[in-house]
Amino acid sequence: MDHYRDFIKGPWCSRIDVRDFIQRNYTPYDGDESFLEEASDATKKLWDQVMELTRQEAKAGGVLDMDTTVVSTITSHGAGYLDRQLETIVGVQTDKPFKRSLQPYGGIRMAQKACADNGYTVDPTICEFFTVHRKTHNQGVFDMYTPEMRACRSSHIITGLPDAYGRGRIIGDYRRVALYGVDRLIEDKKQQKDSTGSVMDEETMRLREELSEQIKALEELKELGTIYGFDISKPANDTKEAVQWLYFGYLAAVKEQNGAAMSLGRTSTFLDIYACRDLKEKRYSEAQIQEFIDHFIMKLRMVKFARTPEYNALFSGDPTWVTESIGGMGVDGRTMVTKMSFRYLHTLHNLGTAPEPNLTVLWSIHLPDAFKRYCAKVSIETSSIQYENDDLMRPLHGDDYAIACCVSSMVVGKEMQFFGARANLAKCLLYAINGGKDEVSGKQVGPKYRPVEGDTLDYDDVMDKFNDMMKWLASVYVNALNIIHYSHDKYCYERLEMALHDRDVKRYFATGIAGLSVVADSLSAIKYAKVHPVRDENGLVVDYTIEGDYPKYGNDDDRVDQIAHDVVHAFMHYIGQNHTYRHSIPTTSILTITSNVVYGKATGATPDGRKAGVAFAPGANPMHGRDHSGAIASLASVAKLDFDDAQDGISNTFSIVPDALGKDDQNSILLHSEKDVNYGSNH
Amino acid sequence: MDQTIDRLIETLDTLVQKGSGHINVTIHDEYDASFNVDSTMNECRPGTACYTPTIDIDGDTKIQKGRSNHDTCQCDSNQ
Repeated sequence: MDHYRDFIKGPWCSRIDVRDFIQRNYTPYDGDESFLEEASDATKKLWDQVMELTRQEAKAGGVLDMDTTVVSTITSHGAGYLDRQLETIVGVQTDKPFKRSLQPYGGIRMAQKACADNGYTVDPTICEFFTVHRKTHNQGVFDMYTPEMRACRSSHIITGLPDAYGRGRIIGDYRRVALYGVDRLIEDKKQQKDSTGSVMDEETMRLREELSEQIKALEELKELGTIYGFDISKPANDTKEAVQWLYFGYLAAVKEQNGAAMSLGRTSTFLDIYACRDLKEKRYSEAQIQEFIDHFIMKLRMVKFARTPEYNALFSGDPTWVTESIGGMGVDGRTMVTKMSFRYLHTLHNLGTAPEPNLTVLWSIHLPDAFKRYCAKVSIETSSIQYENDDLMRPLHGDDYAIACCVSSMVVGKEMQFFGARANLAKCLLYAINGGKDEVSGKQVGPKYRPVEGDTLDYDDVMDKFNDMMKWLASVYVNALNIIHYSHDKYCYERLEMALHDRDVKRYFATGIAGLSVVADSLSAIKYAKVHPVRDENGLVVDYTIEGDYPKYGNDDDRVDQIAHDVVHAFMHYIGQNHTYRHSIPTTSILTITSNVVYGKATGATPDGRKAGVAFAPGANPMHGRDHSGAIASLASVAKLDFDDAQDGISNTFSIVPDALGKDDQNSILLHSEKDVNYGSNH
Repeated sequence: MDQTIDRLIETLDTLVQKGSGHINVTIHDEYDASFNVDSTMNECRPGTACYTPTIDIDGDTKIQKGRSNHDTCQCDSNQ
């Protein structure tokens, strides 16, 4: 049978080009949801089983089972099923559902601790192997870290660095597996390897080695299919195979990588092409196609990793960020919404609500009205949809980008991001005041600059010191990230995900800022009120008293908003002064919407009157309770931050209470809104 | 329901046109943080409900209760 029967041919036939295939073959849909089918009996039974396992997992303290003897690779485990007779889409991370895999390549100690914290013990031979014989990413990083970097990490002026866990934030183009079959992808990678230069400089050697790894990963992917009884060497023949092939690609990625975000991409419009053909051929009914999607989504909901309590605290739980981008508009003006967009969202009804996969609608004012209404309806009923501004991102990325994690946009298979966690600028300000000494431990962490003197902080003096300290911090931070990404590439390379990318990939080098509003308000207090430092017996400034009032960020007051703007601008400027790994493009973000709590706990009292340990505001938000001029003024303050300075994203999290939206008495709509286009993370 | 849908669409269109890039929508039922066991997969999506300040058009701000049964969640319902 011709796998490409009835498909419109084009350049996608002679080169790896999924977008070209989609554009030539997809069918935009502007109708409503009336065609959707309810969950099948098989789906209900399987989902009941998942929920029962979920109950058992909760009862067991959060983890039901962990693999302690088999290191997870693409082919490490035999087939695992919920119910083989009922499942239309198969494959789990280990040999049975809800059993968390052992992934030590990021760091054996992290893997051991994740097991130990849940009552499991990693096989000693594995521990020995990854301690004595095989270096991990974590070990590589700590072999390279300078004492200064380690001190910054320990004091939490730089926190959340992916130096002991997978960095994530890379989306393999899993659609390629379905469209081309693995053999064709291997052939393409071999040609890429043959096309590298003959002068063996470091870059060329690394590329050749990585391409070899990618080819091996693809061979193993093919074997993964065989383990489950499928030959995925050839292109998918119908919808069921397309979903299964695509899922095998994703499954192979999560069997090898436990990145902080393991996102899926933009798959629904692609799969709809197969569904349209199958419906036309009467190969499958609408009910059957919905069942495939329900089972596929069910599998994505079951993705789990072994985590430590510290990791869960940083990320407020155990998110996997299986983000799927849905809808949007094409650059030719046609909507990318298809019936499959509806089918994906419909899983929230058929299976119930869930945070994963992170179903993300690429919203445009030009989306079909019926789809908008369906999205709104599902949002109201399930609270499980995220929205991104397609009208802003499409001009930058075209119409085949997807979101990694929560906000990081990248063209599928052509762009990736080096995840970069956060620098704590509030603590950096305290270091400026204390001459590089940590306000909590008293240790000399930063450069031994002259601390502030006297009983009242002087704005110009503090700003000079703060700029010097930011410049230092940016340098330590970027260089620590260079080490991390070098080590990750070397010891924990995402070979399968990168096998589903083009050879030459555009890389973003993400950094981030935490504590912006604390810094802005602190500097405002120093400038417009009188701030008196309170020193301990060692002369360390540990608290502050404020005399008078000061303009607070979040009230559309230029006096303080300009300070926030200038701080972000300065920090990004300092970031950009440093070399970044693999010609990556440096960006920064102000996005901490979960770890702001952890960062705050590790930071002493600040000159704005915030007490030691108090949580920072999320992202670029004003501090809680200080934006007393209303929502518009609060938004206006954040809007003054320049997107050019923080292209990774600027988040402003707030909710609009019922009265503000004129809503009924029962509900309020919470909107998590980010200004401008985002390339960053929410970590 | 229709009125709510209309308002939500209007809000999303407006936010997108104003330049908002990223929007999560959570519907709160009286800020009820309770969860039944069948909803254990309905863990909070980080950021949408935890430690989220609520602000109304007149400027009153409060910390909103979260919708989570996470032990590690920092929303004030768990504190």
